[in-house]
Amino acid sequence: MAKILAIESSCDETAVAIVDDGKLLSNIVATQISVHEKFGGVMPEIASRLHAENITVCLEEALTEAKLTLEDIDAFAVTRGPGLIGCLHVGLQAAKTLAMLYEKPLIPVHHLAGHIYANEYVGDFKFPMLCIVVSGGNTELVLMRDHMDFEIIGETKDDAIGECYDKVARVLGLPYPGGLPIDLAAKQGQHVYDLPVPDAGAGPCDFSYSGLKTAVINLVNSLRMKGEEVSVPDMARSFQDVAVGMVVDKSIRAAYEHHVKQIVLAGGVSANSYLREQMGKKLEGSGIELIIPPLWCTTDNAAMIAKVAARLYEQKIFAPLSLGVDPNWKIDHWKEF
Amino acid sequence: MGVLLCLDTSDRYLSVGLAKDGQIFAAISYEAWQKQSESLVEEVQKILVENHLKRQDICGVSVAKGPGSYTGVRIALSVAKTIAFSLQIPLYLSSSLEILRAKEGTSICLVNARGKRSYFAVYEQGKALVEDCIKTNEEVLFYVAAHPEYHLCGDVGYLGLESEESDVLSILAKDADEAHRIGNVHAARPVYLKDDYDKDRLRTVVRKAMISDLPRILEIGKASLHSTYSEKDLYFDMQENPIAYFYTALVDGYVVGYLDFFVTFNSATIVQIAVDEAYRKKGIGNLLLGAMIRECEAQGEPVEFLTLEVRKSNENAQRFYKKHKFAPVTVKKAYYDDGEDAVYMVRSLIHG
Repeated sequence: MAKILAIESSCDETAVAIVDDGKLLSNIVATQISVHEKFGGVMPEIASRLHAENITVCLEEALTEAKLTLEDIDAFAVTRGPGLIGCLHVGLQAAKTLAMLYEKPLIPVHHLAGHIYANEYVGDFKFPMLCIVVSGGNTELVLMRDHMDFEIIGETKDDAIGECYDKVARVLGLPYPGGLPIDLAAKQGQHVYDLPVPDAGAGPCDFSYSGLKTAVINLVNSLRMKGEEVSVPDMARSFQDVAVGMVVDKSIRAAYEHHVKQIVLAGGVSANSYLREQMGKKLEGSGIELIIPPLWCTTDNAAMIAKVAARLYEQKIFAPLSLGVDPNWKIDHWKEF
Repeated sequence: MGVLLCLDTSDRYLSVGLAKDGQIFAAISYEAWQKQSESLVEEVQKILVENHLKRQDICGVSVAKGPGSYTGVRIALSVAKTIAFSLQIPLYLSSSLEILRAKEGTSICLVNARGKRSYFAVYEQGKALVEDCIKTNEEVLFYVAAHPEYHLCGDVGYLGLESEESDVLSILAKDADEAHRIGNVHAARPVYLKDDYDKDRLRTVVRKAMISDLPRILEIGKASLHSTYSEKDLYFDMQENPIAYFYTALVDGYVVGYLDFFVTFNSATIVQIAVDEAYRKKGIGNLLLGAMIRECEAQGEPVEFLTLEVRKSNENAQRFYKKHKFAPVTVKKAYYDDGEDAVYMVRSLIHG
């Protein structure tokens, strides 16, 4: 059975994982969060530098933990996109180099397909299935009628939801990444601030977060100018109700419209407790099954990339060594590289 | 006798060469601005195949480490590091300016740093008369005019100057010596010169503990926790105890911390966590706890609580746990062998 080594470097985690016939043998993540904390967001150039430093250490540890050598590996997989371009380059060079040296196939993997397939570590997929992809770089609803069959039925027209969380956290003086601190603060607060529900204008499943972010910033600034104290828990709660409410409402509507059997959450924001709770509540008695990824799969890792790669290995979907990265790769174009 | 692989993508060109006895015998070099990521590995394969060489024939990699285009420098260096690590062969790093120098005499070496600035150095054979630095193009032009006897090297069209042809591959081959060799391949990093951010940052990873980690774990445990665990106790938790999980944190392959915990039904208990004093306050404890939570979430039966005991006097540790959402629940009287009380702390893993 195939042993696959997968590399992920699309944003701020350098990660290497090895799977053998679907079994996870090692899953190494060198996180950069402590570095990016200082800046209140991921600095692309710094992230790229850290990847270049971390890559071989992660490879070595992944092999050591799996008790394998590079000669044992049957294929090398890598995240080709979407992500930060400079970051993607580093993982790509490492994967291509290994595929070249050991004369093994190179498998290009879509990062968001990875986040979706992380749920396969929890349960089997039933189609049709709706994927709610919510992260620092993406907000989209993806309909799957079969394995590796993705149709984007809604997406953000401007900022991603996670990006919006990070910016709002910064305005409220909460740490980076903003998801967890806002989530925790919101538990202590009440929805007292009036924030507009942004209208994406386009399709019924599309999102807009830029307007919500601006509304929070303007409200906070105007309150402070008037000398009024801004309650961080209340603002966090008011913001989270709107930000998450939008995802929940549009997802539920789409789920009924497309008669899905299952809904899966994917991406960093799927760690949000309010989103998990609301989705669970709204689906009670609906007959639609909800799969929530394990928390370790909501952050970037290579185990999820390996999960997709194993599927592509069976289908012999391999890339030539001239493979390039695509920071804006669309999930429904995952076969085009 | 093996071959030395030479790589440079630090500016607009892509150069790949093979050398034997310090002499290049095969070379590929062309302008490949923004195509280096796609092309470099393919060109390496091509040159190896054309010369009927296998990976086992490569005995070393010599690469330009910058300064230059940030992405370009990272591309060749990432490839070179991966090769040197995979094949366990020496890695040689040369300055991207140094490899531009003329074969004889004194050379002013230049690379366009953009924004009206240049990467600048003066080399006389292997020696830097002026170390790699950044100068404004105005300063460079002034220096060049003042030193007409020096060779002018590099792609200097952007300054309106003409330069001599450089042979970067030959110099990469020639410079692959002990002085340019980097002992720890993992530590190889590009030289950017501009915007250096955090020179002391550590390359840390966390993985499952291995028997070879034991001597360091014993050492750290004794020094940090006054642990009385013997090597046998630790070995038992690492290898035999079915409820124990054992992780180590490593910096560049050196064990600097560990975490031993038990999972029993719906709760997990920290048995020992320690970080070498020299490596504290660098986020290593966070990484270890992260590994624990990941492990708990991967359990078939969900783990709902994390628990631990900590010495009442150890306020630093209590602060660390509070930061990680542990709450003090009760005090266990005379918990430790020396009579000290323990604070019992708990964290819920139930979300929502």
